Amino acid sequence: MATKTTKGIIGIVAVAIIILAAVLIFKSRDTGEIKIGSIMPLSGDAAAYGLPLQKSAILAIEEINSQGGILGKQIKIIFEDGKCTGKEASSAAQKLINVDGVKVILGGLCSGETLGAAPIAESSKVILFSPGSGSPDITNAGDYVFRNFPSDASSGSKIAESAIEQGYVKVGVLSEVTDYAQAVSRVFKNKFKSLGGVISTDESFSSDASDFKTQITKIINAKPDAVYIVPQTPSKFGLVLKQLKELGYEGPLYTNEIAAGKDVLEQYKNEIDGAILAEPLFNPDDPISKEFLDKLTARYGELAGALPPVYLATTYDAVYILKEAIESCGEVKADCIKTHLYSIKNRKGTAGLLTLDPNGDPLFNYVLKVVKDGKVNEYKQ
Amino acid sequence: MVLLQLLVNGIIAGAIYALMASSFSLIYNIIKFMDLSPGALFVVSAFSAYAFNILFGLNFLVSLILALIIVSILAILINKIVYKPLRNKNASNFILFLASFGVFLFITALILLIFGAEVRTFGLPITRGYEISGAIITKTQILLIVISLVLFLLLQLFMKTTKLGKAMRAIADDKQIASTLGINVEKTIAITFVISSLLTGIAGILVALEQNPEHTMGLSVILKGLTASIIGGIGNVPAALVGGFLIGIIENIGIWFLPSGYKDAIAFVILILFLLFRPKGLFGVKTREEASG
Repeated sequence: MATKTTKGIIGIVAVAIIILAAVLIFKSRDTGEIKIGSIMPLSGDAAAYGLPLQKSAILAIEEINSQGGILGKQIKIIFEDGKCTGKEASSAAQKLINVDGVKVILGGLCSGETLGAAPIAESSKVILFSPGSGSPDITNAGDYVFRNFPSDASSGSKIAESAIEQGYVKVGVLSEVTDYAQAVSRVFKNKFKSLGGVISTDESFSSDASDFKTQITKIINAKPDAVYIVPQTPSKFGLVLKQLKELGYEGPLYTNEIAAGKDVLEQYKNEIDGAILAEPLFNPDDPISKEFLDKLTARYGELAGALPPVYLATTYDAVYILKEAIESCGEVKADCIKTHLYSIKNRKGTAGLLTLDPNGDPLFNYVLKVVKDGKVNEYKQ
Repeated sequence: MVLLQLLVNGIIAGAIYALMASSFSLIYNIIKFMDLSPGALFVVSAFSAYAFNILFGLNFLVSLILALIIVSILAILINKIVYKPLRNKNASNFILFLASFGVFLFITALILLIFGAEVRTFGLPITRGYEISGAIITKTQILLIVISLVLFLLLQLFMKTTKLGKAMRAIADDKQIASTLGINVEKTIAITFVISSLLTGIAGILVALEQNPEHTMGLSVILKGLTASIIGGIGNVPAALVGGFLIGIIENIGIWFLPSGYKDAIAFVILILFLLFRPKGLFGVKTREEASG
């Protein structure tokens, strides 16, 4: 028996050594390409963002590769599905870093993904560059964690200030249970209360729910002056709008940039009319932005169905920012790339001017907009 | 009246759970394993009806019928390609359960691939619901409840009075004896899958009208439908109906008192309590072996 067991152990160890050696040889082999990892939601409701943004990233990569790549090497991007959750994103980051050996990751997109992947990127000294996560918690997520999408802290406080200026004292809040939506609604609630407002009802719904009638019943029953909705995806937002109207709510509505996506504006035109939202400052008519959006539409058709176009632009820019960083370093070295990223000032991109602060957050403003007849306009109090 | 509104909200949710639970119970009854593929058929039906009605511009009723034909064919195919070979190899119920989960994931992913994740609606006008002594309910929601109850009654009638229904019950009791009595077991199983798929299919379309077609819509009805059928007493179709409405009502009244984040938790706490203290469900009967042993 003993010899059998020993033989077995030796066998297992031998196999393990062979596999390990194979992995090491495979990894150290210079494949002549630069690998970049990417974590985005490619399934689930948030795939409504992930899939178009994946195309935006691919467009940038194809352009770079057709112009000779980075430092003479072609870029290979490896997409992993973060499913909009921290858990999936952290396994995706593990896989990208340990199996694919990437030094740079584009993503996550949902704040939950970025927050889930951040500790792993941080401990492996891998750059995590998010083009779309807004949670204020990401500001302190790590030294290797960057984003060119603004923290939503200012989104929540702008809405709170506006509501108080309008004389709304009692606001009911309905938010989705995701890292992003919870963080934004928390900022709003703290700010609103500090300005003397009262949160009449604080309700939430999970991302796989589609029936919010009882939450809405609770909110309406407290007779609020206004309602603040913080969804993560347009499909949930549409259902909230529908159920609000069916249950008879007709008062003022505050929300986030998800209302600015074409899907919501078209399919829920009447329900969203008059809603006030906070959106990252973005001018789609700026020549550079317009050229990019036209190029993207020409290549893939209309993509900005579910999401505001600013995300498409930040994602495209992010790929170029990483390219410039790698080029300026002369190799894919995370510490050098990190230093380069911190030095970015007034970089002109398709999403506007970008300056990164010492937390790796962009200096980017949120502005208030109002929905009128299916269009998003400047909002003046 | 807030309580009445909560009750109405609960009944609407319950009608969906009840339909799904009947579908699960029906299949469990006859092949004795928890088949998750109805979750996939639910999604397929919603998206087929959407595609015919909105993308191809067909009349709604025609779209509904075409969608139901598609899910019935799919149900027969799933049984034939996946379950029957496994049954012939005497695969355990656990293997069949896993296979059905695989079917569910595969079909859901396929729907995402074909339709993408954007917002889709049937474009029905959104209006304030009717107010009945303080509780608000819309036309679609009333339709949902009525159809759910009518389908249930039809199913009962079918099981009790038709030859096929009796054959199904005979197989549920004992497959071997049913077979010796000259009942075509495989054919009856296939028909059961079709009937279950019709229930699921109609539920899928109704829910899509009310809550839009989404490729993710299958999972929550699987969880709630299974919970309802277990609470009612697994394999007992009428009890599944009661289980469905019970869960719908309890979770909606429950979150009036608790933060709404606990909505799903309420349903699953009930499930755990039932599994611990009343594993046979509300109306569970002893199986033949237990009764004799």
